[in-house]
Amino acid sequence: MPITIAIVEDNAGICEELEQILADDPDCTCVCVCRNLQTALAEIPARAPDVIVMDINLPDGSGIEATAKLKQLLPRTQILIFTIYEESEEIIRALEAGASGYLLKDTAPEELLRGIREIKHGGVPMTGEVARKVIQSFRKHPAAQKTESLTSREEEILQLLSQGYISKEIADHLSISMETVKSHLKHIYGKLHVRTRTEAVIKYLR
Amino acid sequence: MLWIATRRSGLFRLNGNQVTNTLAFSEVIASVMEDSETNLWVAMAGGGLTRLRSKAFITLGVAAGLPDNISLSVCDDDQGSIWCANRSGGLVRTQGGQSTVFKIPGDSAQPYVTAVCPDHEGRIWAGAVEGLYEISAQNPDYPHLRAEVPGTVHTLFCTRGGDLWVGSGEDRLGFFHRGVYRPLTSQDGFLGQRVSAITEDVHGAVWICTNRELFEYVLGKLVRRLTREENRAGELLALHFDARGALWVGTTNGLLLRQGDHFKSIGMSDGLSGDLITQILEDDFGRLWCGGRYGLFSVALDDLNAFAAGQRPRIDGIIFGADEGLTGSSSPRHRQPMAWKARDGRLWFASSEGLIGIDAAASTRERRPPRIYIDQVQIDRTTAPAGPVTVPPGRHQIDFSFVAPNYSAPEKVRVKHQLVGFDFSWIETEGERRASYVHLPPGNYTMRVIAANQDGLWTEGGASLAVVVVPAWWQRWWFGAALVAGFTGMVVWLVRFWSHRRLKRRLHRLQREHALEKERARIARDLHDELGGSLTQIRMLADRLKRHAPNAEAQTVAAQLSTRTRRLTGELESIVWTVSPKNNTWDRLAAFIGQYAMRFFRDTPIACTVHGVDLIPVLPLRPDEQHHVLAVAKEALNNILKHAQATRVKVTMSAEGDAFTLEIRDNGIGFDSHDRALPASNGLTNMRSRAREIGGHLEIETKPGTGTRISLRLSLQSPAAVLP
Repeated sequence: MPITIAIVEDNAGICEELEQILADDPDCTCVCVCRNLQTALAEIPARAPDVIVMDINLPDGSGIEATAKLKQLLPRTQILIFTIYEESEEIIRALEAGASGYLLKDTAPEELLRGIREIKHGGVPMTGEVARKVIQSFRKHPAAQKTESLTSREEEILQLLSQGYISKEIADHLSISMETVKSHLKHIYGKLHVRTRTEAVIKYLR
Repeated sequence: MLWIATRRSGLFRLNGNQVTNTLAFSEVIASVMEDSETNLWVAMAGGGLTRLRSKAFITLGVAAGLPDNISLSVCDDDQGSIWCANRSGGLVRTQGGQSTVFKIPGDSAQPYVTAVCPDHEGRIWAGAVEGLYEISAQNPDYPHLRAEVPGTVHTLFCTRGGDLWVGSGEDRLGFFHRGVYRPLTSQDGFLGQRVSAITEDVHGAVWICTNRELFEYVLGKLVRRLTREENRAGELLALHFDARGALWVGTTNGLLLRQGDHFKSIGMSDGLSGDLITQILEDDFGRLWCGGRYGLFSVALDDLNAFAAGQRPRIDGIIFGADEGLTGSSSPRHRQPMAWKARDGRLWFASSEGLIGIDAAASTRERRPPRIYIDQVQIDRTTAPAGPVTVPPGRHQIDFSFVAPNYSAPEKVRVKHQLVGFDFSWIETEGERRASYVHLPPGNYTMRVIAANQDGLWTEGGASLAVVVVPAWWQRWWFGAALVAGFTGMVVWLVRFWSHRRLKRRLHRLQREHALEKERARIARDLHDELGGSLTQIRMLADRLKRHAPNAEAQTVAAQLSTRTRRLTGELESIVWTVSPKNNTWDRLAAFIGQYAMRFFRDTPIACTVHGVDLIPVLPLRPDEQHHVLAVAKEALNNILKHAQATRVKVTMSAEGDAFTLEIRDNGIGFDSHDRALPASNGLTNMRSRAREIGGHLEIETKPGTGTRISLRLSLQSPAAVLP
């Protein structure tokens, strides 16, 4: 069964390319292309796609707001932030709002497709800069419950990520498998959502 | 006194029980009124207006039955009769309105009497050309010539002791003592001058003056009291001892007052009403009456004494003349007595107008000072409304006209005015009854005027009028205050203005900068969205081209296109980051360098790690520092990618104390840092100059085969570029 994908992207050319890339992959089906926030909020909930590829800058609002609202309506849908620049502040807010990963627009098509597949199963690796912000986010908003704060291993992984080490190196360094690293990251994303839902994201849900 | 006006018979006066027809005419009298100066005004239908005034003197002349108006000598007797030496009528006695002419035998065809004087035995002595006649009161028709007196008798004086002193001829003097004539000779000290006047002091000593000298007859000798040399007064003409015993001498130059051995001269310049004084009498009211060439005048002895004592700057002689209906009288000279104080107190003067008998009591009646009014005020020749005068600001001429009605002697009314607040003293205008002021300074004034009548009696209070010269607005106190306040305010305002302007400029500059920053942010946003989107699109197209490339060569070109475009996107991001105003702190620079480095080596065989980003403090970063540090980092990373053949790059940033350090270390092949031929040498030179530019220090540590360490060190707290 192919992965159903919704695209929220205001640039027509990029939309076209994304559709093309997805069309080239038999595992993916593009169910909806939205060019702005209002259309996204109107169209996507009914289609309940597996993955939403979400741009941040939309002509009538923010992709972060869309992320928060759609995640509220569609908890099982994974949202992949697809942005031009690695503006970590926006990315971290998007992750806090419920996104499970992000990719830069300069990502190669193969990587994009791989990212879509990965996010379907829990998350995509984050870059060093985003990892650093995630650490800061957790420090800034201490968790109410122990289960929602980062474990030492998770923080260790984030630290290494933030310094530029890639997943494989981290796995080697910590003598764990790549899958374990990915699992940790998945947990980190989850904790990020839970922890911040009541605080930072709340403003988008009104 | 009752006045009775009749229809056809004129005006009658009821005095006591005597009715006198004062004015006899046929016009109908319409109205009779007495004014404040006791003038009686009579209005007649068809006859106009007539003023009546009571006379203060009587005249004995032709009208009174005398042969001639002019009499040369006058005296009275104990019967109350007036005797006179009438010029052409001879000896005349007037008694109860009846005049009797006594025949003097003499040898001259024309009976001529020069002087007439009574003695204490009731006899009248009359001087004549041929000698002295003795006339008894019982038998006046038979004068007896005393032949022992030589020459024409001209001066007669009878002492209280009964001696009759006689001056005669040009050089004779003698006296009758108990009926015996005794002439004075050089043995008595008499040198034979013409005698002018003879009198007697309170002690009974006789004083005689000649033309130039004054003598006292002491113990049978004439003692000179004023010598010809001492006399600066001119001719001596009359003598009088006043009630206090002081000797007054009438001269051709006023009066002389004997003060001890000295004489005080009082002339017209001192306020005397005449200078040639031939007659001196004293009334019962403390006044000295003088007659002479200019008529009669009186002057208070107190004033004279005060003046002589230096207590008074001048005296006020009161002329007895036109005011009283007496015009142009003058007295003869070289006779005595020419003036006589009768037993009833009346003062008699021989004059060209006849014998004048003055009722001293009547002439002392208090005359009221004239009223005075400020009649008109003109401002620039335009009559101002009545009441207080308000003069508008600016240059104006103000004319005051005064009126002091006086119908007795209007020409003798004197007027003084003082504009209080402007004039320091009273100003007496001669003749004019007006005052002009031009360009008075602003202020409040009071115009005061007083007037004096012919007696020199000044009004008390007078008239006054408030005059306000309105200050122009710039002359008012509040303007001065406002000026000071305004100036102060101006200074304050200027200071405020300048500081405000400076602040405003700064604000504007900040606003401009802010606008600039916003503009920069907008440009960054546009680059981000538009250019970035387009580049992404191109890159995606290149990727699609690569995927669908017909051959390997096309695939390679497409891949290169994709890679180049991705680089370009990275560079664009770097530019956008730099332009974005929020990235102006050291911690953000460090984070960006770390992010840039990691991304720079993504998709390359080189593994890049970044350390110490979180340790860089949040401190302000200057744009030049941001630019140059980033540029050095990029250059270093680029060199590594291009030349180093490294597999690992370690970017470490640290902040120790004040110093920021960026160290980029690789495990590549290294190079000879002195080898100028190296392709990287240009880049190294650039890095060094950039470091210098921001006051930093660049250190390159490398040897062939041992990798390279590039370290940039500079102050975190470099002096912020001073705002212009």
